[in-house]
Amino acid sequence: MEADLVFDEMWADGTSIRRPYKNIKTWLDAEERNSLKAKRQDANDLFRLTGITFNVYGSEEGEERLIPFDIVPRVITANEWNKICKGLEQRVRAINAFLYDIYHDQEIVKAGVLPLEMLRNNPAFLLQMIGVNPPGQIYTHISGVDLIRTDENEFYVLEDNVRTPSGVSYMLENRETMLQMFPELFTKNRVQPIQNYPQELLYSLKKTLPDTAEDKPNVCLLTPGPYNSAYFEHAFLADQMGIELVQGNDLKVVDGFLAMRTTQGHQKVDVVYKRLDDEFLDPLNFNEKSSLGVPGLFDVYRKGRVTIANAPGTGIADDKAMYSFMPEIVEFYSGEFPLLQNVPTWRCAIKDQLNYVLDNIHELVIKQVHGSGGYGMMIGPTATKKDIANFKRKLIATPQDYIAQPTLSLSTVPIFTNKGFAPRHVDLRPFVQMSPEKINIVPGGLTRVAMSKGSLVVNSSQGGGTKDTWVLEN
Amino acid sequence: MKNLNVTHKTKYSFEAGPLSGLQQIKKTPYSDACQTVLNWSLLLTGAKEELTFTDSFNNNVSLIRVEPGTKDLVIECEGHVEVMDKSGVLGYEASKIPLWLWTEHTNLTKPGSGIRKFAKGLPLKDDIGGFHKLMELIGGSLDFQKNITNVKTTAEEAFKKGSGVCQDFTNIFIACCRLHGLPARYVSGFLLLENKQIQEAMHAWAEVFIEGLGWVGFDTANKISPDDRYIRVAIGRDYSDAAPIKGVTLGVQHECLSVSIMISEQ
Repeated sequence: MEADLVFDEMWADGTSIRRPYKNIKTWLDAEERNSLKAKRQDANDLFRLTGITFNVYGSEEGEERLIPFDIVPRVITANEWNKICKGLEQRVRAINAFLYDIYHDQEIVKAGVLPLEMLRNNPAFLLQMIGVNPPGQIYTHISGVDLIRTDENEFYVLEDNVRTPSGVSYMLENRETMLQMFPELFTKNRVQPIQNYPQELLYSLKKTLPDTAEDKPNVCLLTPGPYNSAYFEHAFLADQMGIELVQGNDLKVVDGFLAMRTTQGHQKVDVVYKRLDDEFLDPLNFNEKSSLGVPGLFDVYRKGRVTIANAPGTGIADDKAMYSFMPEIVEFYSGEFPLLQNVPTWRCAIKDQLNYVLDNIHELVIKQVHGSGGYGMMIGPTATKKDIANFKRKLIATPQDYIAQPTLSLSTVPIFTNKGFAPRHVDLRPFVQMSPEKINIVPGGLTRVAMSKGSLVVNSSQGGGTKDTWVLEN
Repeated sequence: MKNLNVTHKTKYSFEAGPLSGLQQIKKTPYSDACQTVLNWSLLLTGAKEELTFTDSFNNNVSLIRVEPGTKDLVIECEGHVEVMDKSGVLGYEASKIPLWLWTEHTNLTKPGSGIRKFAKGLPLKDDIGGFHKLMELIGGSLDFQKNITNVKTTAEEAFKKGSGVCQDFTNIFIACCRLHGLPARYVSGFLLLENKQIQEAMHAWAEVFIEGLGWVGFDTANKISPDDRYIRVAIGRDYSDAAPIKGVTLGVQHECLSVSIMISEQ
């Protein structure tokens, strides 16, 4: 993990093309620069037409923006992918078992593996979930596990997203766009299909029903509404899954069950695919000021009459301080060594570790424990003096809110720029579906790419772009 | 042992206009080491029961919907409970709530400078004597007086005012225990009063976890441990977890509330 050695997924050591990228290179060499430019423009027009935009928080008018799309695919071999999948399955099963334990007997605390301080006063620990047995014992119906690659054989988990992981619509649209723009690529390369994701998700959710569900279970997607940054994705997925897109005021507790308003009156709902933060889910049980949620929804859930995916309270598993315990968590519940490694992490809440972080702040990435989307983070090597002074103050004032990690050399993949091809840093967010029947992982996931030279920030909220991600057939 | 008969009638009148919405009702006791619920019923006028469930604390909760247009909501409970005098010792219980959670302060029990100073030198530890002393001391610094505090008054505020009702006594007791790192919780329930036929409010007391004994009750307002006159109904970290009624008010204030509780021995 030397910061100066960057692994390029196309060129590896810089002299010869890596095998999985041979066809890509041949294709790019054969294409005219101007024709590629035109196609890139077409691709972006297509995105605008479909309406794929992203609200950027913190910008003045809640501006809607297009996420930059790059036409050079990122390629993963079947072998590499199979290894990743084994690691993901192990990790997601462990997280699910961890959540069950945390909200029941807390054996992991009793065993001394997880310090109690990790739960005490932790806002992500949801008291209301204690003792709940979610349908099928599933908490994490969908996980988005962020991976980075640093070498030929080195993948690390950067972050686990098990609250409301987003981005899958970009994965699907990226493939759709590539198929439209460059159909010949998919006849020359055997790329594993991903288009079934919405149907597979629906299937998976229908395998996780409450006992009260009848023959034709009713699934709906609960969105906070059009002002949410991921609203496009909510509408897109509901449409692709063939389920209703609902807001809080479309749902109501009727005769002790959750029901949805329809033109034919109220219809019982069995599964809520929740794309709303827990806090806003139910004003009767959580934040009473929320007008986005459904009063009494959680009562119906506690009664066992509805499935909520992901389960409320999953946030306890994916905050960045808990992340640092993930190797121990995986081992505790799986009885195996973790197949996917964690990035080394310093917990600023611990005095010695805080001192190390303060002394080495120029080389580290500082992250907020409860932050997401690249907000409230600082990258030491590129930070200004002012930023560093600022963060030092924050670290000293509220150390428990921060963790620190080394700046890893994220692998690069070429993007097509106006000046030709240039390497840019990428990460990968695979999407893992879990039901009592099986774990299902869509081949690939969302590749996010930092569009400016040398940048390590891939978050779409911070100007990052995306790429189509190929997993080749064996 | 006593066989207690309870009728508990609450009437809300809404003058500002009809109210509708969901309310969580915690007025149904459950059987435990000290009490056996022989029968219990909840009767609603102007509302209907959507469902009942047990919450994280094992409280019985009824989710009710106030019917649109309701101007008078009446909630009537009636039942028989057999209670044993165990000197307040409830003992160990099957609960998924970890003990450490009962040592965490809530908004209502978070101590300020007043309670901190008061609790500082107290010989509170894992034995009964210290808690009886604490009850005495709180009783000595607080007058029992109605209409000075309300359900949103914190322990610290009540302590500074120097008066309050059983909720306030209990919240202060809990705050002191937690300051010493001891697990303590709030109990809402009924109390048989020999000299009072009709009561206007439910009662509240605290329970503390003592190693070797389990949960033990302390009624700070009356400076005794509960006996066979006490019916436990709901528990929580503070009043708000165990509140008999909690709901979405939809901006309409209930103008008038009347409560009548009758408890008699059979």
